[in-house]
Amino acid sequence: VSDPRDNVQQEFLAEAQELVEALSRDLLLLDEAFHRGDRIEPTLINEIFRSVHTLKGIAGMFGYQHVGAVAHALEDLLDDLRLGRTSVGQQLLDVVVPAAHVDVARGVLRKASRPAPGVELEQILARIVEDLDELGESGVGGEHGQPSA
Amino acid sequence: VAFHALIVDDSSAVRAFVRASLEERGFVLVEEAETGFEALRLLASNAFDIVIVDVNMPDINGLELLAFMRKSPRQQAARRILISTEVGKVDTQRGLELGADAFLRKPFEVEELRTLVRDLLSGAEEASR
Repeated sequence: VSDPRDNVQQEFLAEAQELVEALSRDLLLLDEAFHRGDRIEPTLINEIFRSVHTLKGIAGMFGYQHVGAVAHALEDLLDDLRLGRTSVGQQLLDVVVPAAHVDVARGVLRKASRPAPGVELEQILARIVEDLDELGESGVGGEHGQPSA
Repeated sequence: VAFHALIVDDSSAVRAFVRASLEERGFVLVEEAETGFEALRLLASNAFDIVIVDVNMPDINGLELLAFMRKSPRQQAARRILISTEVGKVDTQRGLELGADAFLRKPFEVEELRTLVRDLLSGAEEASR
């Protein structure tokens, strides 16, 4: 039985790529704002949340469970930020912002002729999820945290 | 083609997913709208058998489209599915008040969508007999 998703993989890959680019740009803006000591705009957090949220939804529908898992962990953390349960701090930025994550995401999408990521990439993604979960459970944005709203 | 459907979602991947899932067996023809405004234009000039609409959209949201459909003479027979990532209680309650027949939670599966659409359309056929 053919999978109807096979014919529209390109639609997913193009949109996921756009979302990852937007996410990368917005996370860098967040990092810059924090280091300048500026107030973190709630609209920026909401934009980041929206990209991650959309990525989670489409990754799940197209069978990219590993991408969905990272997006889900990130979404939980961002939800805490949006609702003021945690704040933007160095510790949070160290986990969320690194360009490596964006490279991993790009790598996943580039190699995405099939949804299975391969063992090495799977381990990297699992580690990112672990880091995000750990940070979420600690409930601490960082020692110099500032409210996001 | 027996049925005419409209998918309204600002995600092109979701629209492609819905179109591919429903059109494959040839019993539904799917039209797409990327924005609420585009959907309003299509709803004003076409009678659809089923309308699948995302609740979260940047311009006119899914609930507002349901409200429009309720007043639109062309859409009285249309079945309505509301899509959300988290079917919040408020959206569900409001969706029901505005005439939603069913809810889909993202991410949803191909078969889940097909079964829901099939059930709603067969119900619509029986009701029109």
